[in-house]
Amino acid sequence: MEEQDKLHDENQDEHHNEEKKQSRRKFLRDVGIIAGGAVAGGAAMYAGIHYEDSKPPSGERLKLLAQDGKLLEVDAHHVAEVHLPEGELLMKEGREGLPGHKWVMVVDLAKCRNARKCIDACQSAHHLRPEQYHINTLQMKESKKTAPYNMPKPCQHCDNPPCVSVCPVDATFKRGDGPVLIDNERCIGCRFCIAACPYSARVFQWFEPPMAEEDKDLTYNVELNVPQKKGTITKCLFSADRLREGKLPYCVSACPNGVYWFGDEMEDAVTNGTTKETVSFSELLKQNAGYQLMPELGTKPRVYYLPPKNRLFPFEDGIEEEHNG
Amino acid sequence: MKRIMSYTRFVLLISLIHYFTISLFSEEWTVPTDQSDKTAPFLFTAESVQKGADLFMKNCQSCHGNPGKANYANMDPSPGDPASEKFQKLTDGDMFYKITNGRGTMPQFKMILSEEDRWDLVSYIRSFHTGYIQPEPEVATMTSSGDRATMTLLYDSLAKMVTISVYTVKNDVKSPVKGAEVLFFIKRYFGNLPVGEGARTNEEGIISYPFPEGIVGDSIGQVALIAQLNESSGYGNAKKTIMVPLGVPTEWVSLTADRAMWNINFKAPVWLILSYSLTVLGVFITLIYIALQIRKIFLIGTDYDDEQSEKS
Repeated sequence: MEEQDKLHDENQDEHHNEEKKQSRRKFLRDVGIIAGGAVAGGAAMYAGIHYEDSKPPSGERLKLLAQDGKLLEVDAHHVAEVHLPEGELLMKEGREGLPGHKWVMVVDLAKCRNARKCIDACQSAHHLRPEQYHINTLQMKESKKTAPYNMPKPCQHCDNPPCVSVCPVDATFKRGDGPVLIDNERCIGCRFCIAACPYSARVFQWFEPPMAEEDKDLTYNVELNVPQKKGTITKCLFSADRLREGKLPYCVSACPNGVYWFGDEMEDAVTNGTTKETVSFSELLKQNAGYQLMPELGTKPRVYYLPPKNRLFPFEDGIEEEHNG
Repeated sequence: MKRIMSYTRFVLLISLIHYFTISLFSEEWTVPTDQSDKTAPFLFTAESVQKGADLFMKNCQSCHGNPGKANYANMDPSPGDPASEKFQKLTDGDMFYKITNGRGTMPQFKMILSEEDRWDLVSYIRSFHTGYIQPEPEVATMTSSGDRATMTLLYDSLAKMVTISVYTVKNDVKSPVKGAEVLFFIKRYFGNLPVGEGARTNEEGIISYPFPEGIVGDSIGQVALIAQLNESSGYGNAKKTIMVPLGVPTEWVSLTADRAMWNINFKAPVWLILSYSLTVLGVFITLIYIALQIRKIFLIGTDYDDEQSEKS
């Protein structure tokens, strides 16, 4: 009985050894393949570099502007155009922004008469439903005896954005030139950012977006949020796509009453969307007692307000009735 | 009872608002006399009417509709039809002033349309007035397209001055323009920022312009200075740009340069990265430790089994 057991053990041992040998063989074979591949790859790369170098320098020097704005000079034959697929390019540009700028907006409350042209322009540009607002004009009345006024309220594009802090998937992000954008392809619809934003600037797509059918073949543009996507966040983007073209945001250029000033803090200049007048940004704030919304929160908004003094228009809605009637 | 009260109050409020609206906008839009007497610097022609028509379609039609068709927008106050009598009884100067400065819902076109464009608009609006006779232009030398002066800009790096010379060229003879007003602007991303007062050319048609201090430039202090002839001086609107290295250099620091809670993972605060990585590392070390301990127990067990089987 015992002998039989021993025999069985030996058999097993042999079998084990066999397995070991086989795995060693397999290992050696794998290493061989990898090493061979590496050598072949290296040789190919070397040949490639050698080929590039052996090309006679064309003598033509090209001046190129690097992404950070530095001027570089390279020989023409080293230059190859980079072709990114449209979607990837839009995403890359959208994440990087426009170096050298810091966008600011100034809203003159004295001029607003609730024409809502800014809202219309915004909603048609971003393919939104009529009840979805990237920018909205609110009817304000601070207390019983103070005078009511209209207040356009876009995203404040904070320099210390609480909405971005809470995003678990890096879908919403702050850009080096100011705007806070949202990438609808990363957004998982958790709505943490809606809860975090003290300005209620964010909108959730509960339903199929109104232009889903028309937009389905469009390449997603992170600077425009088009096509919109159900189950994700959409928000004011400071019209990042227009800034790239050197144009004022949709809302700013649509205003018929000269409410909005928009410009670059780096140049200390803002331009009025209606009159196209350009003035000094710091002077405008200084002379009109410009202020920010809820600065005590430390969010550092990029949108400034001018107080509703010497209003151009009488307040045209029965705001008192709603509260006292 | 309370309901009735609130209803009367509501009616009162609405009528009050209505009263104020009417009183605000029924105010006459008076034009200063010197502006009212202003005349166009050129004679209206079919060409100027055509140019005016194109401009009207682009800038005015959305509110004022097509002149003569009374299809203006339904707004309060009403924009009105430019072909109507109310418009046509204005002087040319009145029209020009109102287009230039705007009021309330009527936007100002000072920065949007050039003076020539605005006069072209007046000529278009006048084309709907059959009995209209244009007052004699004060500056009769000009036509709509203009007898234009040329301008050259030169930057003197030693004196830190920009020299502007204005001249007209006729039959290859350069003649300097005296007393022409030149306006200065700084080129900005969305528009041109006016700086300082305009300056007038001297006898030789030259202005020595000392660049104003405290103008923000790019990273090396370069600023694009624009000099433009004031159209009202009657020599067209020549415009030239020159790069001047006299601005205050500004350094752009990306708003995402600093470490912050809201920045990308790579730029999170150091304490956050450290505490997170240490926590994750700690959990894994504990798991590995537990696995090793289990293995140890297993080995003790097999050793014990071997001993037992050897004994038996």
